[in-house]
Amino acid sequence: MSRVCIIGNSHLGAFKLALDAGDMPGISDRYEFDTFGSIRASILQTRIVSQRLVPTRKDVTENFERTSGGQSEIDLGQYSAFVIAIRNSPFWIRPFLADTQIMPISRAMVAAIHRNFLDDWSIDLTARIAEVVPKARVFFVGRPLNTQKDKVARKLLRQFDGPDEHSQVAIKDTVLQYLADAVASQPVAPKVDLVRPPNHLLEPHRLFTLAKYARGAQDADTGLKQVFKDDDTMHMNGAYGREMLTHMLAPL
Amino acid sequence: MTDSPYVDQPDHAFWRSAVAETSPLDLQSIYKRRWPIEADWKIATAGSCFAQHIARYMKAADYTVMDVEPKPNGLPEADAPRFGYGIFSARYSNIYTARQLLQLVREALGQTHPVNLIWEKDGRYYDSRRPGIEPGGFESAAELLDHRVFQLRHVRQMLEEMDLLIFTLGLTETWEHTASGTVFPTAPGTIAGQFDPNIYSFRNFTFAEVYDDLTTVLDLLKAHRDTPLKVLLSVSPVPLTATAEDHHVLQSSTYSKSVLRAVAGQLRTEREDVDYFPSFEIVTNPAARGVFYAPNLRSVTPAGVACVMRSFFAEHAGCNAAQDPTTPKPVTDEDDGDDVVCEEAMLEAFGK
Repeated sequence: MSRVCIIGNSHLGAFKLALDAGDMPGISDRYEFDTFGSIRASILQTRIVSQRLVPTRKDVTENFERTSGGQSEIDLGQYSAFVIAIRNSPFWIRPFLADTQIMPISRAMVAAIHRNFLDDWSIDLTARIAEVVPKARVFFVGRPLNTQKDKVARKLLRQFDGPDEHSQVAIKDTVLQYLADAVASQPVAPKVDLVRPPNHLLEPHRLFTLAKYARGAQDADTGLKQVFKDDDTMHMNGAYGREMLTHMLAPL
Repeated sequence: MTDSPYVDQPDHAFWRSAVAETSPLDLQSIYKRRWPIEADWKIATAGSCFAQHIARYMKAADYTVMDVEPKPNGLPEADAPRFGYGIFSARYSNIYTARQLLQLVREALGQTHPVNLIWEKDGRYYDSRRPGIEPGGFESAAELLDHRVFQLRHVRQMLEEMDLLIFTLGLTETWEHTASGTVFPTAPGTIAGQFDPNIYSFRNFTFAEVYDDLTTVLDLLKAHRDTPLKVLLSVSPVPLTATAEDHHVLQSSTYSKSVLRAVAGQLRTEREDVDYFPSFEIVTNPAARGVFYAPNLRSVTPAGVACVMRSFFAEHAGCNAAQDPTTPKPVTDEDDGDDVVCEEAMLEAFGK
């Protein structure tokens, strides 16, 4: 059995729920999983020492222990794959909008925005993990794309229904193509994938997660004890976690 | 017999007291506002390179400086000017001539359709009206048109909503598409396009032409809008980089600035809704002995800009009570005066 390490913040919850449900043909029987979570951006408070990801702050140590079943550090070398679910997704559309408005963006601008994304500490951490465990596949997923009920989503999706529908949709499709090209042309490191959620988890414009995947999402920051508010558009449920794990791991 | 009519004139009316014996850093009464700029006015900025400084200072003073065409949320601030964002109230880049402004206003209001819009270079496509906004050009003509349509929609919104237009006049010299009269901010061939004397020709606008262009702009806006509009004109103190006239560049620069200054003065005299701010006079003041110019004797130093803006804020105190707008906060020691985006400086690459 290969071992997979999932590192995340509150968005770890979707993966934990999926693992607890155990309903993943082709995944559950091939992989063993460990999960490590710490709230918000606190995973920044870690360093890599001799193939181990070691918290440098007590609260992160405690969070790791609580979410992994007692492990205070991550022994990176024992894993053949990592899933990293912290910070933003590179495929989140908001950075490519003017406020909440779709706008034409050139390939060079998209590349500049993506370069800025790659400067984030979460990508640096991802690259360092890949560097110390070169045999492992590293999947960076960031946080899920907000659902179609999100405030930005509702404002944006309305623009695709307006009188300019055709050109707005065409502009959006161009931005998505340029973004895909930017991701492909600016690799983080060998064996690191920036993972875009598969289309069947997304609404037809491929920008936001289908609302049904947010239902019943639970907060990993509270040890999965707290169910997020009904209007939470950011945290996903176990079905989402299952689909994402299958999307990433089944082809391996 | 009476005393000389100058007897009752104030100190600032006399060269010796107002200029020769006064620090150029502390010119009193050089600018008296015609009307206050109200805190809730929407302010649009446009013009030549120097106008970028005015826009930055006004933003820092918390005036409502419009940005109808903002950068994408995720584009870093440092990258934004490279793509023409955050410099003026829309992504129209430098507007050096009154004719350029008129052309943009007409196009945004749907009165004209662009001619000779697209320039090519090495398989890339450039908007001839603002060739510097995409450093590597657009991928296709269709993409360029998407950006242009988007811009014109937002410029129209700006023209309809603004309460005050601050416009800095920069040049009288330009290159035009001879058949259509379309003018450009840079000569074809400088950033993109190809110069062909059979297609393009040099123009150096006269007082009458600049006056007519600006008057037409003001009249068009008045006819198009329901609300009053104020216009604050200034003349860029940045001299010409090069002239296409068969004259010494100093002579051409003086001609250009003289015409622009005279037109601004004429419009202020004729129209209550127009004011003139003397940034040109403050920087070129002989008492400054050129100290406001950078070593290239063209760019205005941060100290020069700060001095100009002190005079401005002496009359328009700014909206941010917690911040002294006369303090040049937006300018740091790292600024060298060349950080403004100025296509005209591209000409230097072709200079001798």
